Order: sequence, then structure tokens, then C-alpha cells
Amino acid sequence: MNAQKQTRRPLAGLIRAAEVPALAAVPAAMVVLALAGVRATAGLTLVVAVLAVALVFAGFEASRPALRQLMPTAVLAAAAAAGRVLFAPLPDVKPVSAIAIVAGAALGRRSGFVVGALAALLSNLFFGQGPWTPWQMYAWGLVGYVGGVLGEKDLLSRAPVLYGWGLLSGLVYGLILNGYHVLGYVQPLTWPAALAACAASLPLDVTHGVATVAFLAAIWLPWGRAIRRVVAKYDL
Amino acid sequence: MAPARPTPFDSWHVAVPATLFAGTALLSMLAVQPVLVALSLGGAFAFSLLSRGVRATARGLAWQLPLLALVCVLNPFFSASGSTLLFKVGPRSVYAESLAYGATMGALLVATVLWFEGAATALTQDRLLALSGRRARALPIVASMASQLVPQMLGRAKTARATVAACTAAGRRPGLRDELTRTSTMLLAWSLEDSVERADVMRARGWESGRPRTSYRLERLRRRDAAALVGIAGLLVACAACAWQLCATWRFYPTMGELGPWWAYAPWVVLVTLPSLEQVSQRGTGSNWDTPAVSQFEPVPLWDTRPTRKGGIR
Repeated sequence: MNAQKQTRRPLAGLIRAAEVPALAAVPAAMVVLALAGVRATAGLTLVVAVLAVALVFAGFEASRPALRQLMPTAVLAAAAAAGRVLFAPLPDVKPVSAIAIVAGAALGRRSGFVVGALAALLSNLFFGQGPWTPWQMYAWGLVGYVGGVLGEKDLLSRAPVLYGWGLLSGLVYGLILNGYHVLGYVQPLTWPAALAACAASLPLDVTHGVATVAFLAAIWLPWGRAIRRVVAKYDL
Repeated sequence: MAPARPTPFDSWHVAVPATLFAGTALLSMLAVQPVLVALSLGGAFAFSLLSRGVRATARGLAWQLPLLALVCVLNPFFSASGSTLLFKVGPRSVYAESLAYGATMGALLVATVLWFEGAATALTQDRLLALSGRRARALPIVASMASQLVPQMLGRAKTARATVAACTAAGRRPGLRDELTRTSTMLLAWSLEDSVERADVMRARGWESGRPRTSYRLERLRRRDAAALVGIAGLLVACAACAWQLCATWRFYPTMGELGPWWAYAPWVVLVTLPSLEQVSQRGTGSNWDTPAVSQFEPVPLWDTRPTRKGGIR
């Protein structure tokens, strides 16, 4: 719906074209820098992640959404942050990924990214900011972005795709968050060590993925209905 | 509502602390050399003591020190490498170099966390909004609105659950899962409807009217701010050059390298003590009477985005 109301500008088009390469550059930089054995991998990959988040944010900004259209994004970001705070006592059970996917499907890929990224930033006001904040913003933003891409191709109406991405998103999130620590902070890194680290975190990541599927199963229909109703009612 | 503790860098334009903290945190993360990391940790710790107080810093250290130890111990466990064998744990050999790398990275992590926390005391939300400028308008409004909606939602969740629980005439109470889904959907619909109303109120007050509006800028870039920015940029460049030199001669494996000349650490020492010096000098002068009364007043945003009480049950 944003696409109809925005005006064409060359810079906006350029930013939009660079989004996917920028998002892909983060894992690429992690692997390349770690394989090359660069000592400042932690800092350099962080810079790449921050730049990728900033670029997608710039794309959201450049699409010039009207004030009313911003409101569902703000509300869903707040809901995801509040949900993470409410479910804080249960480790790895957090609704942020599920809400980011719902937001991406209902409002578009950039809104999905913004919801995931802002949820990480805002909920860390409660849990504490740190060098992990940009990584969480990137990882949850990516979950919402891919949710948006799948939604635009109308794939999320099929249950296996929806729940498959929900389950996978937990693993992707865990891989990024563990990857930045293992690749950045352990040296010299050997393949067995990297695999051991991944295996150690696998149960937690699977828990996160299963929890995301459960949250998606619970909120996909009612929340989608609520968002679509408001969008139709107020012509957003 | 006067804050209990003065905001650090209150007398400067927000770009000054933002540049200083971003540059310091970034350089600290890029310069993986034990002495540089130790200096950064020391500077961050001192600033944390001055800006956040002893109690808050100690509370943070309660989890940061175990984190440091964990990162330190994890490295030799994952990668047994080096030339100075210290001891053996089962089949694992623990080398001094590997342990030193772990300790450096643990200290780096804690130093970065402390810089983030210190920066958060100086860069309050209203100051960050002033930094975002006029070109970016969508994201700052989404971020500030969402940050104010989080506590509102947490409060409304209680109201909604209590209201549903009070409807005893509606039949048997649903299970926990159904209840959570129902409450969350109600909250979402409630907040969405509210937010559209808020958008209309903001429009009525002149948002998106198409004409540039005059507004009172809470932050003005004065000559001394510009001078400070140039000075900080120069210092950051000097630090980067020295750190580059120091890191080029330093290595962890197979044996640890040279620490380099002492003077190469001088710009780094200045950089990491700068925030603490500013804090001390601000305290020394008592009240900062020469500032343009920035945060002596409650900052009033041009469009009040605080959630209205309209529609609330409370």
C-alpha cells in the first residue's frame, strides 16, 4: 500500500536496490573476516551490521510513508518490545520474531524490518544496551524483512512456509548472535571449535524457533485480522 | 522534575558527546591490543563511576565481571593454541597466549558495554531526537512513539485481563493460551485505533502541513561546539593512527609481540579520560550558568506524542 502513495526518486530507488546486498553482506563479512583471521573481526563485522541496519532504515525513510501509515509500525514495534519484556522470565521464549513476521506480511518488508529492529532497541532499554544491540536489531529486522518478502509473494498463506520460516528464524537468529561472538571473540578459530559452539547453542535456538511457531499459530489469524481491519477502516 | 544526577555533556551540543562516545567505542572494538583495551576499560569504568554513581556501576559489575571471566575461559577451551603451556585440563592444554587473548576480548566486551551505558546517560532520548535532524522524520517519530507505547501497553495488559476476568456472565473462563491470545489481540486493536486517532490529532496540530514550520531548537551548534567537534575528530584520527601502529607490531600467537613505545598510548589516554574530565569540570563549576538553559526545563516536543488518556479505562 505504501508503493502507491510514494513518489519516484532516484536516490530512493538506489537505496532500495542496495537493501538485499547490504543484508547479505553481514554474514558474508562475518565468514570472510573470520577465515582471514583478522583480529578486529568483532569491530569490523559490527560496523557492517550497523551500516546494513542504517541502510534499510534509510529505505524506510525514503519511502516517505504518511503519518497514519506509520502508526501500525509503531504499535507493532511496541507490542513486540512489550512481549519480550513480559516473557523475559522464560529463556528463549520471545514473541519478537513472530510479531516481526506478522508485521512484514501485513505492512511490507521494510515495516517488518523496522518492527524487529526497533523491538530489539526498545526492549534493551529494559535489559541493557551493549555491543549486542546492533546484532539483535539486525537479526530480528532480517526475520521481519524475510517475512515481508515471503508475504509479498503470497507464500505465508501456506502453513508449511509460515511455520517453516518461524522455526528457521530461531536458528537464523541464534546463528547470527552466536556467530558474532564466536567469530569475533575466539581466536584462532578452528572448524571443530565453531561446530562445538553451534551444537552447544542448538537446543536454545530450537526452543526459540518452536516458541516462534507457537506464537505464530496463536496470533497469525487474530492479529492479521485486527491489522487488516484497521488498515481497511482508515484507508491506510 | 529535576533529574537526580546532572546529564553529562549538558553544556555541549549533543553532536559532541555523540561523536566522542561513538568514536571511542568503535576504536576500542577495532584496536585489539591488551594495553589499549585495558586503558579503554579503565576510562569507561571511571566515567561510569562519575556519571552513573558507585551503586549503579557496582550493580553492573555483578554480571559484567563473570562475563569477562567466561569469555576469558571460553577461548582456551575452544582454541588451544600458543607456545607457553600453563596447565592441562583433561585432554585440553591451556596456553598463556590463548588465555591472554580471552582476557583481552572479555575486557573489550565489558569496556564496550560500559561505554554504551555511559553514553546512554549523556545521550538522553530527547537529545537524540534533536540529533536526528529535520530530514529524517518517519523513524524518529516511530521510535519515540513506540518507546512511549511500551509502558502504556504493559499497563493496559493488566487492565484488559482484569476486565475480562470480571466478566463472569460470559461463561466459563478460557484456558491460559486462549486468554493470552484474546488479551493480546484486544490490546493490539485498542492501540491501533488509538494510534490512528493520535495521528489525526498530530495532523490537526500542523504535522505534514506541507510548509516548513518554525520551531524552537533545543540544541544549537555554537562556535565552541564546532571547535570541540574538530578537536575530537583530530584526536580520534591521532588515536586511530597510533592504534594502527601498535596493533601492527602486536600479535597473540604463537608468542606475544612487542607492546610498542609509550608515547603511542598518549592520545588514547587523553581520549578515554576526556568524558571523565568533562564530568569533573562540570561538577567543579557547580551549576553551568553559561549554558542556554537546555535541560533545565522539561523538554517539550513540538508534537506531544504522549499517549492520551482518552479511551483508557483507568
